[in-house]
Amino acid sequence: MLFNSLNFIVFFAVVLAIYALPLWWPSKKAVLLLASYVFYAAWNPPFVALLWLSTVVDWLVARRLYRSTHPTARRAWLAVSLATNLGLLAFFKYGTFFLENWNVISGFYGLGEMAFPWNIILPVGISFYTFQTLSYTIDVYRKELTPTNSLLDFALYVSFFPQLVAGPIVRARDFLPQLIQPKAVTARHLGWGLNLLLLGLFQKIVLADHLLAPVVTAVYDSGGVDPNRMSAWAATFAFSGQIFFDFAGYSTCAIGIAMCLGFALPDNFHFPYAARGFSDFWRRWHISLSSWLRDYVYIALGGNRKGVSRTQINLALTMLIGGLWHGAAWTFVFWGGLHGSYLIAERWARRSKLGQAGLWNSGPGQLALVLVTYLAVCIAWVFFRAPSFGAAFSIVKPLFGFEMATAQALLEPGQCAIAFAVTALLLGGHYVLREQRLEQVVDRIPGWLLVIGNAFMLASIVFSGGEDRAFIYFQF
Amino acid sequence: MPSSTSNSNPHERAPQRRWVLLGVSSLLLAAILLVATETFWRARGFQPSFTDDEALWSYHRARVTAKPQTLVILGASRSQAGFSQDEFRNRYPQWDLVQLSVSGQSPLAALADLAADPSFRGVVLCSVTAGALQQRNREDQQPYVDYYHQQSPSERREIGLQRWVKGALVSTHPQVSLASVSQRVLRGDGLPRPAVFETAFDRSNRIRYEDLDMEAYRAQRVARVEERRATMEREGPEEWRESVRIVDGWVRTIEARGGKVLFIRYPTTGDHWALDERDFPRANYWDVFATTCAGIQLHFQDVLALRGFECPDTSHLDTRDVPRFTAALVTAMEDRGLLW
Repeated sequence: MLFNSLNFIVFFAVVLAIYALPLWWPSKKAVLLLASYVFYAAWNPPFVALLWLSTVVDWLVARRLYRSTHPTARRAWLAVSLATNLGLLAFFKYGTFFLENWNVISGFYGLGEMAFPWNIILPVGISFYTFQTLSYTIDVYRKELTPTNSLLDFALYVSFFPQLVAGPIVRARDFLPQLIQPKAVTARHLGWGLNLLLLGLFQKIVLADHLLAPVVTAVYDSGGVDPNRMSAWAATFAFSGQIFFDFAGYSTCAIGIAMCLGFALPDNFHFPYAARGFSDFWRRWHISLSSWLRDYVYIALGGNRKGVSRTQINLALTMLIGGLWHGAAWTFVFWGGLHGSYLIAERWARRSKLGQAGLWNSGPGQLALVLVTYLAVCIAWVFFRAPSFGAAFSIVKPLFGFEMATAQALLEPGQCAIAFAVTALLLGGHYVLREQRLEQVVDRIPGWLLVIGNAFMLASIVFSGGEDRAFIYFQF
Repeated sequence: MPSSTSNSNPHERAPQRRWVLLGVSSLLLAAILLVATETFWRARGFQPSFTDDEALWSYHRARVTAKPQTLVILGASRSQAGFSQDEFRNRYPQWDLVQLSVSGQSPLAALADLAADPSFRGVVLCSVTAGALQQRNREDQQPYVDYYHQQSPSERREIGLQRWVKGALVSTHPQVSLASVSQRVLRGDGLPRPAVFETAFDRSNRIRYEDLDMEAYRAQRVARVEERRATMEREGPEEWRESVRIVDGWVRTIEARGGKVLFIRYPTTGDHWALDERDFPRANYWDVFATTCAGIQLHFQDVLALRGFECPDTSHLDTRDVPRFTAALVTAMEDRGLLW
């Protein structure tokens, strides 16, 4: 079920109404769990079984792990959890990818091709909930978390519908304690939650889908027609906005919906296009994933504790895995690799004489850092969005001034104007609000301005009347 | 050390504002904006209408059940705009009526899909021309058929719910959307005018000839048909007959289950009819189709009550004539035992 659908409005109204009834707290949690399964089943009912599998296995494994004292037994239980969750991911998300690559290699050596016996459907949100349950088991293994005895609480942690299919990836230590005390629907939570939901829907429906997606599609899905410089830049800027408004919009909706129910989910974005450098970018972009990768991959690999060279290898590996997490294609791996190389270059630059110069602490210096970071991130987005390397390079070349003789203007001037205007507003907004939190901003805004802003967003959603597009991150 | 990314106390994260007052005021202001915009677009002639896409088609395809008293209309824009659902429902209120025509496309893929549906036992009213029967056109509506088979129940419910919003508000139509209007204005094209074809939720089309320079519109349409025919590689008679044989197989499959199929050749007039006769002479095509394919074939020229309708654009019936044409067509179907 999509947040940007009338189905969801009806569903959420019903859930909220039942949840507001004076029920026993465990009953309310059961209502939320049932609602979460209905929410997930609306897409493809049989795949709820995967959620149950992941839930039951990790709940049992964590309890056994906690009770085991022998290191070998503990490692064996952890292996069960890893095998189950990564096995699900490997089969459903990477099965076809592995086989295609195997066939390329076997073809090269003159061996026969293998055909996949099934047409695999990627279960929505599998990358999110498997990472969430994995973090729980690993935390218990590391003795940083006491497992819950309540299967109901754990099942709700895995399946909580606001963040089930596209995050934020919630840690058990943040969520499970919230299930202990009964929650009530209050005007404060409901008011702020609905405001966040409205803001998220505005980002998704109006900015990402309505204004930017057509610009991006016209260039990135042009069917092999080379874009000219203007079209390539406009579409690439537009995609930087589309992916942000789409994904941050989803996260904002998720946080808002959870808030309506009295729960706090972690922030997932913090004005990322105002980042000064790439490590800053990853502290601001998809924060729940980047912190997951840092805690469970980068640190597990040794982090920065094993010397400069090893740190660089660890950074590169972490980002390559991060790239592969986003999609089963080499373009995603390349995108991750590009970000890995940015991070390595940044570490090197920070230690150089130029990096130590006082210039970077001045206003213009900081602005330059923000712009350089943004442009490099945009170049990487090309590989994230393009359907193939060929398509990606046909867009990257004109970005650097190498326009093909056959290049065409794939966008109307009006579309370019929309792309540049939205991008300028996005960058300006991020730059101004760089050190702020949304709550602080809303706290300071006069009431009348908030009313105008909300009414404008509501009306714009109605006036956007376009297609219903799924959130981009559903495919991951 | 794992880190939490934010405060997990919801109370501390929610700003303290007068949310009820803010919410009610926001809704009121949004309603005022909406009413003003609705009034503006309606004053320019816009009426609520739906995007005629695969999702809406699939919603209606899912309404085709095993009930024998089901009439499914297949075809292209002529049957979409030229069949009055109200007229039919007045005469046959107990029948289910499903409009599955798709503007500008041959209905062969949809007919094949109904033939492959073991539960379908109803009546098909299929609008075709000799050109639409060519093999090359067999896949025209396949994307619609594929979409239907992949559409989830949740997506279908969504279309059902959209009926109440899009059916009430002009402002939700893509033609008057923010991006569409702003791009038109930036191009110097000014504000949009209502489209010539408007689709209702039941997928019937209304053609608005009111604001058109009919002379120019007619000439433009005929020129477009002529251009398309000139660039089109025509199939040989044997290929065409092979296509008819395949259609014959589908019709027999439907009939074997107790269903019925009536093929109707909708009227075209003036230059369009002349082009049709030049490229697909009736004696070489329609008459061959009528004698070699199962089902019932009805050419508008062969039924007195269906003759004499003038198509303002040479290809589609005048909206004002559609109820009268539908009444005549329904009577012709009754006479042939297709309705009861």
